[in-house]
Amino acid sequence: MAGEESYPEDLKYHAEHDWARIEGDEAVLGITWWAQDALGELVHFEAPAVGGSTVKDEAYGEVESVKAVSDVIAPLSGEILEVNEKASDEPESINDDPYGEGWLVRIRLTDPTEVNDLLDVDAYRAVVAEQ
Amino acid sequence: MNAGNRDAAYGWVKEREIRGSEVRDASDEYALLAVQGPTAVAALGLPNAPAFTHAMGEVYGIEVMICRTGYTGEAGVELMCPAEDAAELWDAIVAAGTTPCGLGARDTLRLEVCYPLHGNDITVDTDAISAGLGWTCALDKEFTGVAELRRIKEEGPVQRLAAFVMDEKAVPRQAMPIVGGGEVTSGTHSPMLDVGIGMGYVPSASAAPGTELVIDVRGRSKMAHVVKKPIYTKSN
Repeated sequence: MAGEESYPEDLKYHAEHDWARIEGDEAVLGITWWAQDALGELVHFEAPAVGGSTVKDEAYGEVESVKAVSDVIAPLSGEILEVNEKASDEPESINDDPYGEGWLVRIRLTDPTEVNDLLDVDAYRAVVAEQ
Repeated sequence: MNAGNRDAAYGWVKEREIRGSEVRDASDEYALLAVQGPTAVAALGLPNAPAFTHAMGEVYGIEVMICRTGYTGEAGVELMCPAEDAAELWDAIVAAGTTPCGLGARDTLRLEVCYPLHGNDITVDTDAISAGLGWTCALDKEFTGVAELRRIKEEGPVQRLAAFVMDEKAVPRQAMPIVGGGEVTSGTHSPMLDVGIGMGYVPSASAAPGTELVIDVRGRSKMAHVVKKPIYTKSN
């Protein structure tokens, strides 16, 4: 099951408990440790289609545990280049390694200035502390 | 009386109170702990006994009614004791090496073996024949509602409670529409089968095992097929 609570410093965060790893004009997206912990053991990732798009602050997929289903909110807008098949096939990998093997999608940013709206790790930790 | 249906069940019995008798809701005076699983009986140091029997006895020094019942499809017992003894009984049972679990776990277990849940699969609007519970009704005897049950049995139910397994990755949930008629009454992800499972009322013509169903999962059509109940047995 899930590892220790952690929020890597090199990531950008969205208050809806999503993270983005910015790599040039692309970004890898996923859900945070807090999100996977709140949902419990995940049993399903309803992935978007490659070639589709994400819109900042809007849902682009769903993650589901035995007890609950939750929208996955896009921290950034972009074109979906790649979907993590492992997260679909073995959703528990999102619990086990939310920032690594449990990443969800890779996008090409359509508006890189949106990155400025995201939270750094300290600001996101403050969000978590209020939950 | 059981948690979610307490008011309805009490109201029903109270309305039919026989003159000279008094119906009283004593639910708060008792607690029921279900200890379930293949090693449950041994863990409590109890002898085996036939299913659906009960007897007074002692468990860790606390007087309890030991019921050879449960709603998980597993071996085990349900222990009923006075409410004031419940915390001590709980602590003793947990100390014996049992693992506490919540309703989510209970719900996956009972749904895997297709035990209907009142409020989901059976309600005041459903009937025993359509729910596949005709075996609980002695239609040759007289009781409340027997005429209607005889009619449904003779004419054949319009809908039947069918069990299904998802063919696509998706978790069916209560109240999701079934395309072509009916809706999901219970749904979850089966930990034993690692697939979405559920039950729901479908037109009788669609209730045979093997029939393909389409479940509307939040606007997405997901394929499923009807299976024979129970969905899971230990031998499969």
